[in-house]
Amino acid sequence: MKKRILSLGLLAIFVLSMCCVGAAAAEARASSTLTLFTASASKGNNSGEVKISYDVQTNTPADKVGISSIAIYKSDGSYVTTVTGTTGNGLVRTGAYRHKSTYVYTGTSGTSYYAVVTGFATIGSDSDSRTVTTSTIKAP
Amino acid sequence: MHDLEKKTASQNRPGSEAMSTESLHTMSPAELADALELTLDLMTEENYDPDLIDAYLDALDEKAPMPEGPGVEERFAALTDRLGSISLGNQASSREHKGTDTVRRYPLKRVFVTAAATVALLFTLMVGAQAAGLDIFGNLARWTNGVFFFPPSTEENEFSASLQQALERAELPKELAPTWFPEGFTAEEPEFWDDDVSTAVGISFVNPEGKSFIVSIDFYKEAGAIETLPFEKDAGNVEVYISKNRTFYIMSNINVHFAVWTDGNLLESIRGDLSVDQIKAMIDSIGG
Repeated sequence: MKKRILSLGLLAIFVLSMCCVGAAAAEARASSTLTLFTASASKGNNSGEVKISYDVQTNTPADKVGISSIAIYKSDGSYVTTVTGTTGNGLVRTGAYRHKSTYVYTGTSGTSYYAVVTGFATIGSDSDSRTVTTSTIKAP
Repeated sequence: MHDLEKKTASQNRPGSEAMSTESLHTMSPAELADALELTLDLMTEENYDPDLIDAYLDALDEKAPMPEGPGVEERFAALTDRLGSISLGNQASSREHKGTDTVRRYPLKRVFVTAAATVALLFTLMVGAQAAGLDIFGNLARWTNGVFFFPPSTEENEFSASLQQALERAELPKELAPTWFPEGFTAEEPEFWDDDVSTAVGISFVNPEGKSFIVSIDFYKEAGAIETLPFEKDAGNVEVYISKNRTFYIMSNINVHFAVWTDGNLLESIRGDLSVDQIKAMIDSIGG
């Protein structure tokens, strides 16, 4: 009886340990192109402005690096607009290992907004992206 | 033993088989065993007598018979009974058919199974602890792995000077610049960034084979900002590497290695097509 209880206990410990390993493996995020991507929102300097700051870093110099899209929402979740990243609007760089900058959205003063920002990097045939939802900021 | 030798020698003379058999029955089991051993020693290929040997064995069996164990069928039935009564409700029937000598006959096997299970459990717990954030394997690696230092060269000092100038221009500590770099790489122009989040300097290196790496130093303007940075990494271990009181964390991200250090506001990262040893050499060269 004691031996069976001990065996079941050891088996339970083993199973629980494997769950921890599995959970850790599920949380590990690896990318063949991206080292780091962050984005945040803050109050702009002028009326109605919300600043979206982003930082995209790559493992090695990339063919393209930057922001593929910024979707703007009001605090109640209602969709406002989406800005698509291009080299023309400065959201995308070529031949670089980092793109760190700020996009300024001009909305309605007193209205609170948040952004869903997608950063990406392309190195050769590899491309990867990440998406961040910023905090909600009230435009001045 | 002298008398036994005489007796055995006389039994082994030709024509003495009848007397030998009778004599054997008068001997004790110990004497029979000794005599058999002596007989075998005295026999040669020419005078080998299998009947005499059989007589010794028969006499021994008569004096001290071997206990009979269960046959193959009986042992198989006992094993199937044990396997078929694992549930607690069948304990009584399993005890009825359980061979009492099954465990005792194979003590080494039981010890081996127990030891293997213990090792497997310990390893699993270590992996679980590693997943929970305790760098057990990293510490073990640091205790057992050596570090190889590449000799410095003058060309790489130019890179260091360029990076130090860039750091000075950005008002960042120039002593954070490495003074050793892998051979064969050329440095691009340093880049600068300054926004609400951080002030940063970065410089990339590339060699003729297309390999490249990057060194960057950031000063984050908001306390606690560094703690939220999500560095991409694969499932490999994070190695804690301490050099000149700076704790770097070295890890891999699929096809590159990178190392990061922070003092809370400053963040230095070295990443790219570098081996762990090359990264460590650069880390060791920081500050000259």
